[in-house]
Amino acid sequence: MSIIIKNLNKIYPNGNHALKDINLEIPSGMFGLLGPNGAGKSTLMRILVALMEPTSGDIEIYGYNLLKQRKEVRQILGYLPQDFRFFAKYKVNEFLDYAARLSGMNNSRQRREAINNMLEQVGLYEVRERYASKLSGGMKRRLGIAQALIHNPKVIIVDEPTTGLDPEERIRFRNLLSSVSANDTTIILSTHIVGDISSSCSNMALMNHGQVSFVGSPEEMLKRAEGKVWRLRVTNEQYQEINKKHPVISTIPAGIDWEIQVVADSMSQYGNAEPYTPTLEHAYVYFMENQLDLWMND
Amino acid sequence: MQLIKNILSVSKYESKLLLRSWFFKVFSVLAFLFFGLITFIQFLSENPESSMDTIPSLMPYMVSLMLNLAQAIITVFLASEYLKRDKELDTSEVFYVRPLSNAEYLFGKMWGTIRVFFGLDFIIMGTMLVISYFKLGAATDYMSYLWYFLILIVPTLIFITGLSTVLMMTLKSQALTFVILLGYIGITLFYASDVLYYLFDYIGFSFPMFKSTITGFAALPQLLNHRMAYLLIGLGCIMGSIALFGRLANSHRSKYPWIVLSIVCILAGIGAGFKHVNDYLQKNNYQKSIIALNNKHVNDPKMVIDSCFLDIQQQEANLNVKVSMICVPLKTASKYTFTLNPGMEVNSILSEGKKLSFERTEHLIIVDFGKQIAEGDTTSLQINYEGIVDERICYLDIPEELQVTNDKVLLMKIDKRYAYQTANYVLLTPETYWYPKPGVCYSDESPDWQQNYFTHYSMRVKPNQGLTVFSQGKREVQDSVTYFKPDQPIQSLSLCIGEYEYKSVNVDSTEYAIWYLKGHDFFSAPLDSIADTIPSLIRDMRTDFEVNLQLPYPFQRFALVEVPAQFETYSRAWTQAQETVQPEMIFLPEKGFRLNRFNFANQMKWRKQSRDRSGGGGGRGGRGGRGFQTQSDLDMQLDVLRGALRIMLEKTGNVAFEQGRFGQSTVTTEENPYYFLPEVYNFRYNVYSSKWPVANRLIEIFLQGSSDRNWWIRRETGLSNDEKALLMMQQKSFKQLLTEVEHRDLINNFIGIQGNMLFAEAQYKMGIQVFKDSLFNVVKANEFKNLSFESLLTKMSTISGVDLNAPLASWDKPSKLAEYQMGTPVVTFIQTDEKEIYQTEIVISNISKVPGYIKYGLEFHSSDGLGYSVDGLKPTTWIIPFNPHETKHIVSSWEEAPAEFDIYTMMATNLPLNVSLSAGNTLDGYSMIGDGEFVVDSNYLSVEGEIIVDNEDSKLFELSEPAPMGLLNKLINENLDDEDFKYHGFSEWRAPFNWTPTTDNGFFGKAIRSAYVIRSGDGSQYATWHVPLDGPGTYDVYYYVRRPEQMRWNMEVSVSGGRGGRGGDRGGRGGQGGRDDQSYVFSINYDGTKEETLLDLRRADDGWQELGSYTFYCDTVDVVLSNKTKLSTVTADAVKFVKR
Repeated sequence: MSIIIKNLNKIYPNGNHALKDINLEIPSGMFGLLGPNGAGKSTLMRILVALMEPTSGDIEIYGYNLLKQRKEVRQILGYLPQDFRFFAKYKVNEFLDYAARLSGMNNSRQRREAINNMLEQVGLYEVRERYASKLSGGMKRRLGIAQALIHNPKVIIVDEPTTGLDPEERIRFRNLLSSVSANDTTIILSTHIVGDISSSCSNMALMNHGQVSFVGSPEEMLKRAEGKVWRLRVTNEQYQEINKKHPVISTIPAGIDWEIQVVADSMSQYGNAEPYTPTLEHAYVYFMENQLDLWMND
Repeated sequence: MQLIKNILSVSKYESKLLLRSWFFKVFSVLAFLFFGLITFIQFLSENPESSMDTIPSLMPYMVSLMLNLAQAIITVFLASEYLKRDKELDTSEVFYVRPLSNAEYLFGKMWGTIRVFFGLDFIIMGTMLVISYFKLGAATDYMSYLWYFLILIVPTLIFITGLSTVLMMTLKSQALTFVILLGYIGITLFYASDVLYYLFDYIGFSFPMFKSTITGFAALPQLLNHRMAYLLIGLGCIMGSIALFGRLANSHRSKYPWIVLSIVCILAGIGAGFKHVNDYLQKNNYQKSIIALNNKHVNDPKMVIDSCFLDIQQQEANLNVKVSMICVPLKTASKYTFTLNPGMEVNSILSEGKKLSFERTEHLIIVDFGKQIAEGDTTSLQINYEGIVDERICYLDIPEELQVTNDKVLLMKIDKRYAYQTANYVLLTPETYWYPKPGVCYSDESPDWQQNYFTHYSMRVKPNQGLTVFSQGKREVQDSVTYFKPDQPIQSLSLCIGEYEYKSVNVDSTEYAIWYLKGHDFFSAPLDSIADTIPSLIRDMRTDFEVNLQLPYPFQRFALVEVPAQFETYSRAWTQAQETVQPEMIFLPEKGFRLNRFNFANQMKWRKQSRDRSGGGGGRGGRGGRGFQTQSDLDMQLDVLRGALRIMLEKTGNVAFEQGRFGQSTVTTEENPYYFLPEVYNFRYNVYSSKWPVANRLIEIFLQGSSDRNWWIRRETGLSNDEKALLMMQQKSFKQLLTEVEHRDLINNFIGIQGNMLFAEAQYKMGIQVFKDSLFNVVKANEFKNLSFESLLTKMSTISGVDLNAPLASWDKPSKLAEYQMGTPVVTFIQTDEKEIYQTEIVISNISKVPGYIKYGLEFHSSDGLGYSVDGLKPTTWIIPFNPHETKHIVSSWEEAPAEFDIYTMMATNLPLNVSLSAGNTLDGYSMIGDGEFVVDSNYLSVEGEIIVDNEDSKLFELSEPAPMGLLNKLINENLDDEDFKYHGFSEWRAPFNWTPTTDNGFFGKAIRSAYVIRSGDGSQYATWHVPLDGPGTYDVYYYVRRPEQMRWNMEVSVSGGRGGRGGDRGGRGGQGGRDDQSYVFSINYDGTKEETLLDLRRADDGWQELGSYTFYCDTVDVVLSNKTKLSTVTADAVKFVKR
């Protein structure tokens, strides 16, 4: 395991218990951290990149104890924060150069080559002399991932990287991360967009209310949701009734009726309900809805 | 090393941001423009009033000072900016997760800011250096640029950067940080800059850092310590900020070393600050202990040194001295006390070849001769000593606040040094006691310490290799040894050793020389044409000086000696000779620094430019004044040199003028330290007295004729120095006032007044000039001899027939002052068959119970200033005695009409003390009274039927309540005035907001010619005279007018314009014609009615002006004057009612 998190707790000075006894083992490759807003993902990310100190617990990253060996951990770390919009008055290549220098890339020739390669890789070479603050949202994200990758870190932590991107940029971004993860690198991708996980992560964890609700592969998560998703045609009155009891995932008008997809343990009371093959989104809703504490780390 | 690389990486990108900010760009551009302008004005424009090009370090000093101030303020805004930026920019965190340490990050950030400023400084100062090189060439002081950068800019920037960062981290608010730091800067700059000996002056704006070309900084260790204090505290703050920084450190414990280092640095900085203050306090305490020691030994037996030979060897900085003296005891004793600088260690003392035991306590040497030596006997004494002089012994009598106050040139502060003794340069004056002198030095309990005696000195000096020696006497150089032997006995010796060169010329068997440091010949080139003319110039100048000072120059040689600019002297109560003036020589600051007239190069350029512009040149023009528009180069050079040398004829030096609250101001004058008189008087005559050490000064001031007639100073400050002195002499004895430090600027006035009074009766008997001549003759007969004050008085008593010793008894008590009332002067033209004469009359009454004297004089248009009538037969000034309550009718006749009557009331409560009354219109008459002073009845001055109410009459004169004043106004109008004195000066262009008492010749008053003055306004302020009537009847009502200065001046212009003089085309306008409301608004309140009347000042003359005639039936009439007028001021003086 490249990252082992044990009994991690974070309680803010205002009493908010943001992380509750988190235990996680993260293997190399792309690891998705899924959860709704406020689930504690960003807190966990910030603790992992040594921007924040946990209240208790231990974290080991590639054999280094994060709490005692921050410098070593920082040397193998790349980080793209959730918000990455406002820049000081640096040009694109300067921003990368600054990041590269601070990561210990002292040889100026090699650094320059690395920067150019990285700019090519993320498609920013043409705008390298432009001030970073003048880039579009997608370009800024790409510059963000470029700075996170510039020194070939072993662990890359990206917090909500695709939020606000158009579909094309999002796909491009996912692909970029996927290609990096092929090089024995651990990428932790924190997101609340299920599609980001399903399309790129081999392992994932689901967080809710500061706790981990699920850890495993997306397939395992889907398996847990099998038989819990139903498709049925209902009248308007029935729809109102179902909606009060169960999460309705899809609602399509069908004449005067509705064709809906529902996550529920059973829908036998409705005659036309038929099981539906769950997607990761269905599984995510299933887990969120049931506030599950089904999974134990051991 | 990764640490350095990380710091440089962070700093590089921080600098980039700063360079890209508009704030910094604008600052840089403004800095360049500003410094370019400064350079041009002060340096390149060759302004003769500028000293900037005399000392090469001045330009870098001034530029660093201004840059430092600007940067200190700008840095407050920028130093903590990155913290705010890091907080605001969400992209900053990607740098926080890098493996660099907090220290590397913060050091990088701060260095990034600082280095940009350093870069700007390098560019600006580099540009200055290049300009300086082109202007000064080899004289450029390259090192000074580095010095000022290191001692001024570096500590300030590091301190303010550290402080603002740590404050920002603690307060977590940039706005609050700005407010606190800008407030701190303001306080340290304007209020606390000189508190605790400049301790809080972190910018270095007030702490003197002048660098001399000859000797460098005045006190480098002290200076470095002061700057180090801020550097260390700054570094401590920076390290503290590392510990406080919000980013998680690379290691848990990594902040502890920074906390420790921060505390160590801050404590070390505080320690340096403490040392700074302590050094001053120590010096102060040391001086107090020296004074206490002197007080203890001031009455010890002492010897007069009849002859003294000093054998001096300079060894590096050390002086090794053998002094052989022939001494004459003033009292029989076996132990005698001498003073020698405490830095000089005494090795042995011998007498007649025998070693003597001695006791050394600080500066005192108590020599035990082992036997009684009778008074008047002679004995030999040899003292062997060596060491480096300790300057702390100098100027024990000068208050500490004066010693720590530094002079300034523009923004630059000049330190003070009293002596120099290094391996390369030595300047020792008698003030350092560098050779033994009898008795103790300054005592604040007994005046017996400070006797000077004439001694036959001679000297042999072996200086360090390559150095030249200069001192008093005939100079002979044999091998590496220089001998000096003065021709006469002198009172003091001074010693200069350095890389001196000299130019000399013999004129009429006197050697005149200029001694200057190598490379400092600033006079030869600009005065290149006058070499052949020098002897005749010197001859002329000598005559000029001797006529002016009324004494011949007594020595066979005279030299102007260049000394470091920090060399400072003070005026003393007992002599007007400052240490800058020594027998046979005057010390001038290096390259004539601050003496603009010695800036020959610029003076010449400026004059030539003026001549060229006016199209003159070629012909010989007038020599004086500003007639150089047509002068030849030779005449111009002679004029410039003559003008420079004439500085030695000026009694007053710097005049400091400060505008204070409500239009009041203070003016302080300094004695001219280069005044030549001591050369012809003090170093030649010595009147001494063990009871009255000021005796010498008293005779000196009396013979010079004290003049306290700087009318413009009086107008600004409200009282003349003599008047201030007299007010104090009523409260304290003369003896007590002489020892008080707070009014030491008035000491000459105390002495002058007392001297005048001492000799008043004798002058009355003999005539002013005859007495003066007699006194001077007695003094002159004792040239180069010690003359006792008491015997001088006895001799003068015999000559004048007046007991001059008797008045001394009253000097231990506060003075009682007479009070005089003066009538209106009358001049009558009388033509008889034999002659035509102008008869002058005035009635003066002593209305006090104290007897006194007045000095009475007449000014004529043809007056030659020598105090005699036009035929030279009759003195125009004389002394008149007055008994208590005595009134005199003073009559004198002349061949021409006098212009003014001058009455100087000497020791009286009168204000002003000097009254000049205009002679007015001449009347025609037929009967001559005959000259004389006739005692008349005191009613002579009162006029029947006249009722006068003056502003001095507290029961009948009333003023409106002062207007409330805003806080801002109070702050802006800082009180500079001396609250000890009731009367104040004022200026019409900045008149007081509230009724302010002031005195002037032109106001009405019995003894005090005063009035209240106020700024004109809306009529809310007013003055009221309650006039008690002499029964019902018709009265003519008058007001006493003294027209405002502005109006007076305009009238003069218009009058002279009308006469075809200056004013030209304005003459026809008739003064203030065309302007309205230049009237005072009066209200006459009587019998329940208020009657308004206007007094148009355009049509009024000075003196009583009629307001109108009124019939009253009441007992009292109120005359009310409001401040509503378009004139700038309103003056409330006196009203007069005359019953028909």
